[in-house]
Amino acid sequence: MTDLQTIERKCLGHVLDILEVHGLGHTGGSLSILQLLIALYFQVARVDPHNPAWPQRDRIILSKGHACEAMYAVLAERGYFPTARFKEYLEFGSMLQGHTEICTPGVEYSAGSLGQGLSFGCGVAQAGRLRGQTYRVFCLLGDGECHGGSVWEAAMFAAHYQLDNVYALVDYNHYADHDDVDRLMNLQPFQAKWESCGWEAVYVEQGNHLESIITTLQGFREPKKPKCLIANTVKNYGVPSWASKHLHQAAGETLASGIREARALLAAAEQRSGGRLQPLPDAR
Amino acid sequence: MPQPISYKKTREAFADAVIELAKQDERIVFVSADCGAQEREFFRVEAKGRLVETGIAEANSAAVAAGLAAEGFRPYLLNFAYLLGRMYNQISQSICEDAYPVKMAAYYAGVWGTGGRSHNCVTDLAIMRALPNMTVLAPADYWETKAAVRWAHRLPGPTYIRLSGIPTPLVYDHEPDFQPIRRLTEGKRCTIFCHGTAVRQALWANQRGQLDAAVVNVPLLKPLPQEQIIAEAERTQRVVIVEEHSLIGGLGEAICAVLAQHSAVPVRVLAVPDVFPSSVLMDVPDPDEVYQHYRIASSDIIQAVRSLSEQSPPSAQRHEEGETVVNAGR
Repeated sequence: MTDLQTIERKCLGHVLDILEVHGLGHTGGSLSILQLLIALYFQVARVDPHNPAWPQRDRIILSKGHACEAMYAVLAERGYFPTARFKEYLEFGSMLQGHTEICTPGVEYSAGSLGQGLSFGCGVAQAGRLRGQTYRVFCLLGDGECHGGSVWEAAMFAAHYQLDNVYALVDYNHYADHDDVDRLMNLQPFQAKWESCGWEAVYVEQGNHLESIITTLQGFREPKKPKCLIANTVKNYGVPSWASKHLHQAAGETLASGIREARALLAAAEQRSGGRLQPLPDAR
Repeated sequence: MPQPISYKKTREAFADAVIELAKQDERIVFVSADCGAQEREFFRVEAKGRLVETGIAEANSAAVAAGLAAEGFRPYLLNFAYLLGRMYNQISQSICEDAYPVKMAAYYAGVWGTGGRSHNCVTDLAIMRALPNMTVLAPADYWETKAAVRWAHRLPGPTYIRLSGIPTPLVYDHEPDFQPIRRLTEGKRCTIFCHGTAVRQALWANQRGQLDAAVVNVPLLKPLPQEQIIAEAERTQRVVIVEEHSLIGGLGEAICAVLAQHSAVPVRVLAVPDVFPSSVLMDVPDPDEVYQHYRIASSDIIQAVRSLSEQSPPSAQRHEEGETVVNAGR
């Protein structure tokens, strides 16, 4: 398999290509969650892109469906469908909708309205337990959606039934649509909230760092507990000018100039041997 | 006077039918948000492991049910009708968008009951009908509810069955084959479309008022049996619709929408006005007074049929080719 740094660069390139198709999209949340998705699809989760319905596969449920550009990028790079399909993005009736839906090969859950993916994942996990199956369920959540009560209903449920095959990966990119997520409604103490609900929770300071994510996912060890990885991420990771403005969406010249900027950074990274994406300063 | 008649909860029919089905179909799990004593007991004791309790967390219960359904189970999800609103977005996105076979039912629907506005819900059919992929049923009594549960179980997508929390009068004396629409009397003067408790009210009205009406039970509100609705309306050339549901979004509006497109038959709708119903004691001296308050009592039906008959005497009937003939039926 191609090394992870190369995959990361290619996936970021795919996200830029998708954003460029119609000159619009969810830049911020897609670029902050990209490494979490890569870690799952290329390293941690058992999946078969040639058999997306393989019964033993691990289920990857993207609750924050607005990160569709990242999802499509990673799924295509993993081989679920050719990158040539990117040009259908947002087209009427196409398989690449404006939020993730199960019409896309590899997508397990139709999202868009936040706060439901973890509940759905709990049902999927409970089904596996009833059948004696050993698959794991990885649910990817945004930080902002954790303002919603149904997330915590599901958190209690997973702990109550000791669903230790459930993983919540929170993309803590610190910005919702309009403001700092904790200024909108303070999530802190965030890790302690998960722990008090009965979860094993780990805070990953370098939330866009692939090795940190993978090591953490492989390092959970408390028995009978669902697991939460809180990834301290940067919104618009890989595109400094967007990151400095905490953009949620971009269009027009802002989008075009950011894409140029990111492609230049990517080209520079490729020239360094084994080069990885330039770690971004903490824009907060 | 109405003849003495037995009363039984449709809520119990749901429990009885689900338990019978679960003995044959291992895919059935019961998702409870602290709801359903009879079902919980069965699934806890006899169908071990197939009770999925969420606590009083309705929103979570709906999306958990969706996840179970996505993995091949047939989750049954029961709650109060008013609380459908609490799980509505989960029902829409997690269940209906991908048409997962979650089998929903809700009780405390209708104007009768001591619970007050939160437990006398008359808007459930409106919100459930609005969901794409959802099948919506409102059976008339205990027996038809059992048939409806079995019928809905065989459908591949999500279903909603409206239940009453209080004993309601029987229409059938045994479990009928489920039919989306069924003419119960053969009258010629008017067609009375109805569902749920209104079916018994309509039968009483027809009897007491000697209305010579065709009482047509429509337990399937969505997809509406459109062709048969039109045929039944054309058959008598007059339509009264009665239901224990808000006039917004129920059978009345559904049928009016069909007839407006396909028929010129005059219609009157008797439904609960746009209000939140009050609590009602179960031992009121004259039960009919409550229905009269909402203008859905058998006396209201009699009045509606009579006034419609006076306002629209037998007249020329339009045929498909545009020629007009006198309706020889009246």
